[in-house]
Formats: sequence, C-alpha cells, structure tokens
Amino acid sequence: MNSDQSNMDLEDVLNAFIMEEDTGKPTLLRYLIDYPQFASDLVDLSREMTLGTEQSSGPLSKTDEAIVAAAWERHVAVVPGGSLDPLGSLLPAQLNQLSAAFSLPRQVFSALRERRVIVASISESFLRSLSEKTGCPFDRLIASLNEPAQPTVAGSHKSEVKPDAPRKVTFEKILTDAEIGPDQLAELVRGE
Amino acid sequence: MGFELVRSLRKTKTDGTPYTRPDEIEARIEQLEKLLISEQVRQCEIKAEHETDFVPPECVVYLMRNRRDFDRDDDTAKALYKILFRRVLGQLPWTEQEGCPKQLATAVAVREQVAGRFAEMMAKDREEYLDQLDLFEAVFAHSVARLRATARTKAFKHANRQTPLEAIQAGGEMSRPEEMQLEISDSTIFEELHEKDYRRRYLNAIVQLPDDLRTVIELYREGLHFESSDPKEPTISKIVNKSPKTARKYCKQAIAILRGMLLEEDQ
Repeated sequence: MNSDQSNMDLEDVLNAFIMEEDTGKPTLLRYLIDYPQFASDLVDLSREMTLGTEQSSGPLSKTDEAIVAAAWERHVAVVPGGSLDPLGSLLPAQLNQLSAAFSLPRQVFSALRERRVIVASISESFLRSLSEKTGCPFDRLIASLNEPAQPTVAGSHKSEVKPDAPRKVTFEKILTDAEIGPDQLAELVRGE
Repeated sequence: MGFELVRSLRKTKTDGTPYTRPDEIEARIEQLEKLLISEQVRQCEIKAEHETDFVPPECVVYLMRNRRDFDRDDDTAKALYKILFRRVLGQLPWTEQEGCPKQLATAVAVREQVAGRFAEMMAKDREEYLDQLDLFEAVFAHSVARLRATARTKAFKHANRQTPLEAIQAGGEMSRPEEMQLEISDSTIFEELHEKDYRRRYLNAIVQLPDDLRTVIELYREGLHFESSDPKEPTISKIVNKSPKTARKYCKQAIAILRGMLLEEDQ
C-alpha cells in the first residue's frame, strides 16, 4: 500500500471503485487487498452493483408520483446559489440555435446578452418567447436585461483612456442595424 | 471566446486530478448542448435505450444540474426533474412485483430512502455545487447502487429490530444446530441467483448477516479459497484477517442462516 492509498478514507475508496472501467472480480480483489479495512463495504457495494440493479421504465405508481412531487417541491424551494446570468451562461452553440429559432442574426442576441437593449422597447411576446426558449423565468430574464450594459467583447482591447460606460439603445435600433425588414421589426418591437 | 462547451466535473481523485465522464457521455452532452431546451426534454423523455435519440441518465443529471435558475411554473425544468427521478426510481426494487409483505416493506423503504437522499443531494446542489453528484454524471447506475446499498441495510434495521439473528450476533451461537452440519460445499443458495425474485430475496437476506459472515460468504460466492499455499493468492482468510478455520466456520454459519431465511420465505 503506498502513502496515497493509506490516506484514502472509505468515501474515497468507494468513489474510486465505482469509477473503475471494469468493476469485476479482479478489480474487487485488488481493492480488497489494498483496502482490507473496508472489505465489508466493498463487498456490499460490489454485490449491489452486480445483483441489485433493476431496470424498469414502467409508469410511476401513485406512491412514486407523490415521492417525485414532494422532491420537486423541495427542489424549487431552494434559492439557487452563485451568480446567475441566464443569457451570459448561454454557450455559443445555443446562441446559434436561438438565432436560427427566431430567424435573427446572432448580433441581436449578443446585444441582449451585453444588456445593450432598453427592455421597455422590446415586445412582451418576444420576451416571453425568449424566456421559454432559454428556460429562464420571465421575471429573472427581465431583471437580467435591466442590469447595466456591459462593454462589447470586441471593445475590450487595452487602452490608456478609460472607456465610457456603454449606453443602452432601443431594440428597434439594434434590429435596424441588423438590417431586419419592417414587418419582422414591427412584430418584434410592438408585438404586431 | 474561451467558452467550455461541456461543464467539467469538479470531483477530484485523491491525487488531485478531476474525475471525467466516459467519452460517449461527453459526446452525447455536446450534442444536447446544441439543442434548445424543449428538444433536450423531448429526447430525455425517450424511455427505450435502443431508440434513436435516447439520452443516457448521466446526461439527464448533467442537464438538470445546469438548470439552476427556474421557478415552479417552469414546465421544462419540472419535466426534466421528473424524467431524472424516473431514471433513479427505475433502478430500485419495484414494489408492484413484491408478493411477500416483508419484501414489499423493504422495497418501499429502499425506494423512499434512495429517493429522499437523491432529492436532498439535488437540492443542495442547486444551492451550492455538490461535487458528489458529479459521479452520477459519469456512472449513474453504480452511483445509484451506492445509495441502494446503504438504504437496503437501513431499511432492514428499521423494519426488523427483533430477529433470531440478533441473538446469533450477540452470542455467536446457531439457533439451529442441525444446520451447522451442512458442508461448505453446499452452495445451493447461489444456484437461483439468475432468477430475479430469488435475487431480490437473497439481497434482502444477506444484509441481515453480521459483517464478517456477510463478507466471508460473498468472497466464497466469488470463488476465493479459504487458504492457499501460494502466498500471493488473495484468500478469504487473509482478507477478513481470520484463521482459515474461523473463516470456514463463518461461511458455514452464513450458509445455514441464509438457507433458513430463504426457506422461511418460501413457506
């Protein structure tokens, strides 16, 4: 047993065991020899992994439905920790998907992500659709878009002069710059 | 732009390097990340593994953990959560198939305990990243097996406080001396383990044995010898740190007890 092995506690050992590519008899024996102090736990886990696995995709019973409902209530009651930036957390590929779904150039979503758009200038129908497609709650989306504008990625070069804080512009301005046609623009700005 | 397409696991091995997901899971997550949420949910709803677009449970855990910012009216988050829970429950003893009241009680208890523990972990993770859940994104079935193993032992302790085994554990004496005459070579108790119902009963019976007996019988089932002239060969005696004679005695006791318990349920 090397020093690394001797420092491993039960949790470490069981974690390492389940992450082994092959958890069959040779691996189990190796672990039992290296960690005899955890023999009963390793044997119990190995037995459960080989004999105890069930496979069922049948409908949930009423009891199960109640278990899931209670678990969901517990889950939604949690206040999510960490910084939440629904648009900022979108990956490039997801931005491309949004762009395709709305038939709008990606620069429009970049502007929204950098909070360069005045929220009041966007139609509610577009915002609700954006909320649905990003999976971000409507209120949270509005709060996020209302945060101060961020500098564009392209403008983040080094300069000795401190840049002015970016200004917010209307959604119409963003769409016009993106050369969106009048009919689509009216729909996006006024929900017509 | 410096984005990482797929969130890396944070749980580390003891040498400090992070655990990783299998390549096929990583690749499937990359595919899913390119989809809108509604399409992710649609694919996760597919139940049959052989169907096109089936999503492995490891990926469902990944997607749900990424959805931290939602409210109770969010249908896609709720759907994803329910799908994930169905995947967990699908790996637990199925209560509808248990005929014997004792087996049914154990199955219900295991389902409730595992579901409760998993819900607790998911809620904690939403509050603050819980790296223990990373392993569910890499080896889902094995991770659920860990929860199941713990729950099965607890379920028995809660349901069966007074049994003849307690006396065995306390005094080390067999209550059925005639069964002690069994030869160790009598391993008929293992012969029906391929049969699902018997397997469930065996699993529930064996957790009731004391640690040493349980370990010895399982090593015996794995085909290990009690002793060996080859000093390098791992033997039951060495692993449990008992003399070969004591290890044999434990094995006999375990077989006798298990036979008694399994026969009792057959009647």
